Amino acid sequence: MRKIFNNIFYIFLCVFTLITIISLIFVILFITKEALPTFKEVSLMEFLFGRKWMPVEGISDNPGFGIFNFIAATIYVSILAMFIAVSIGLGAAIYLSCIASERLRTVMYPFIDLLAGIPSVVYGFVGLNVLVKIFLKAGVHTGNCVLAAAIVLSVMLLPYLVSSSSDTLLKNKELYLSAGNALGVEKWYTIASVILPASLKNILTAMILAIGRAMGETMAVMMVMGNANLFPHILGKGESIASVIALEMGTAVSGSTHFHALYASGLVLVVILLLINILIGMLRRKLVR
Amino acid sequence: MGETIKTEGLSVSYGKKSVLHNISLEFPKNRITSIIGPSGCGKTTLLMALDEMIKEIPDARVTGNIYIDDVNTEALSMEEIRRKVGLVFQKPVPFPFSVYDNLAYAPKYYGNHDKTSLNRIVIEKLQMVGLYDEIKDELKKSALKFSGGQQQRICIARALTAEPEVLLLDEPCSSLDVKSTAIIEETLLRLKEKYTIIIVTHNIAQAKRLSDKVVFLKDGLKIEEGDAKEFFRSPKEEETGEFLRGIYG
Repeated sequence: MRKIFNNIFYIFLCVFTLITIISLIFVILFITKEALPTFKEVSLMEFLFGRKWMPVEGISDNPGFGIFNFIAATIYVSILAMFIAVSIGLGAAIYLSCIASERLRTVMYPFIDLLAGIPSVVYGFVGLNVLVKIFLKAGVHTGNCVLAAAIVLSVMLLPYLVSSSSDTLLKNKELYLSAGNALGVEKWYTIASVILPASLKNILTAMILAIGRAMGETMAVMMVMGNANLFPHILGKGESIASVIALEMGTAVSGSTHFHALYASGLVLVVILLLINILIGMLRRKLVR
Repeated sequence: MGETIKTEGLSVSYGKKSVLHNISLEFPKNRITSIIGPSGCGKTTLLMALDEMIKEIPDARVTGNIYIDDVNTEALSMEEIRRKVGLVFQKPVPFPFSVYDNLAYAPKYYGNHDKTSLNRIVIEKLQMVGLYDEIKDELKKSALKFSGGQQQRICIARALTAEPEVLLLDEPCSSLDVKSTAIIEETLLRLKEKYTIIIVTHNIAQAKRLSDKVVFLKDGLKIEEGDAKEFFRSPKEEETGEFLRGIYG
């Protein structure tokens, strides 16, 4: 009886695992299939490195399907946001794990986790009404810019970075701080020379999660970045791949090259994310050794 | 035969809870002193008080005096105390670096960046714990990859790199197997020629094998102290005898 039960349980687990993997494969296959017709119209090089995006046939005689600016904007805003978020997040994580008292920590943690629960449209709304207005007053034309998007995005990334980084840091602090103390070594030196390096592997994992979130984030970025097909500058407008897809998918005629090109953009986004994940993964393995 | 470290009327409390009462003890130089007693009697607290690790615990309050080489520790900085008094924990905690970097860590912190001198320190300390011949080809390997007993010896060697006079060990063998325990005990017997060793143990047999002097604590009070041979043969206090016979523990 127990054996049958075990077998059934085993089969259930296998099926559920399979469903997860199959849905991933299915999504990738589907996007690829829908993306491929694009390349009957434009070459891959032209698509990736072209800067002209005139996707609607009939409006212009000479349609263009280059997404270089979108790719650049996506990477630009993500890296900028990661830079801000990692600096602030790591600082916060070190404070929470190594300095804050147990009581303060239990009070602060839920607040940080709450940041992750706020819908992105609310972030976008706040960004639009606060940040963009500040930038407008500071003299940025219309106020929408890449920096504003990066700041909004970085706040969204914070909870991912802070909560998992401070968990690891706390664990390593409990393990190593007293060992450092026993040698007469100052707290800050132990934190910088032992606790941080020991936590690096998990901090990098948190960064993978965060950068995935950053590149895919649509709504908040779309609301503050200005959405113009320009090469991104820190105070200029830009448009990310996710924004292009969200803005245009509804109006693209099904089956048109425009429609397929949007799928192809999605595929490019997936590939970039995969590459970044592999890169950080390799870095992690190298550092750990 | 003088003493390296001694306490005078040492009391420790955590918040409202008093853990050690009025402990006056002398730890003789180049001898192994064991601190034994039932769990919760304040053995570890006493050890932590000796190198002021206790001050890292927020609500701990310490009164009384501790002297190292007849100098009151109040006159010494935390760093000086920690350098003079090394501490090895119950669970081996090597840093997640190579063996070499573990041992070079403290000397580098104290400003030694000379490579030949660092090499010499690493080799010398590993020899002291009898580990050098065992692992001399693996100094660049992560310290976490060695066995528990080897890790504990790496930690002892690391504590020695700060050039202490006193070595404190808090149940250093409690997470180790019999063979590693024997090796650590041998190491300690060898080390007492150069260092004053104070060890907390819950293992009476181990205290018997190692100690020159024994201190018996119960409920934060010093019940008895004395020369090890005498102590185990004919304890003066009834409570000590009961503890040694395993009536409570």
